[in-house]
Amino acid sequence: MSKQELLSWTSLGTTISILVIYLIFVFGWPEAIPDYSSLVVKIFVNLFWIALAVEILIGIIESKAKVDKDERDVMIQAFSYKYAYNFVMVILVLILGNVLFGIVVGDSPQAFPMTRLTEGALLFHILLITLLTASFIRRSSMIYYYRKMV
Amino acid sequence: MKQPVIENRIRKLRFLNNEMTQQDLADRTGVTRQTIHAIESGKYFPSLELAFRISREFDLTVEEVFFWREK
Repeated sequence: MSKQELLSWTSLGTTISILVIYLIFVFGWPEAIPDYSSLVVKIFVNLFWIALAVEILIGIIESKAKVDKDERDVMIQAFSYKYAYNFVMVILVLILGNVLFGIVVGDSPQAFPMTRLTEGALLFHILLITLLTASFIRRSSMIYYYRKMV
Repeated sequence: MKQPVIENRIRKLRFLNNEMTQQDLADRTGVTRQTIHAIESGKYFPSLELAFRISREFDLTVEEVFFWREK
């Protein structure tokens, strides 16, 4: 496993941890499922610290190989950036459409609850979750290509 | 579009050159060992520059190392 692939795995771990903890923090635990929120948060906090420690360790330990990153890594990065970019663009277009719809129908969230999605704090949460999900897409597609081109 | 059928003789050439390891070839050509492995197994097609660098390591032309297999 190359250094870049290892870094992709650790980044995927930290991204998933932050995403899950943030989702539980913002939206709470789903009522339909028994409350395991404290256990899940504990697992993902541990995963976050382990992934971070491994990432720092990889950075500290000098690799035996002379080259850490080459044209194949750059190509895989480009592919995965494309997927993440497409996802972010779709979400941004949806948000813009929502804002436009809110302007057209006027300020009446009671009649059109969807327009509330672009209000203050909720918009911030949606954008942050979008960024984290884009990072997740980028890292997981990188791992897919690394595994495909072994 | 069908996947191009570009094959190479890198594995054989490595063994003919004092059993050069993938890591040795990777270090000499400025890539990672994993990239050499991917090229050898036909899962990654190198850039023209890398193809030239690999060929030069064996004192051969690009077409003597990489070749198009007609189907």
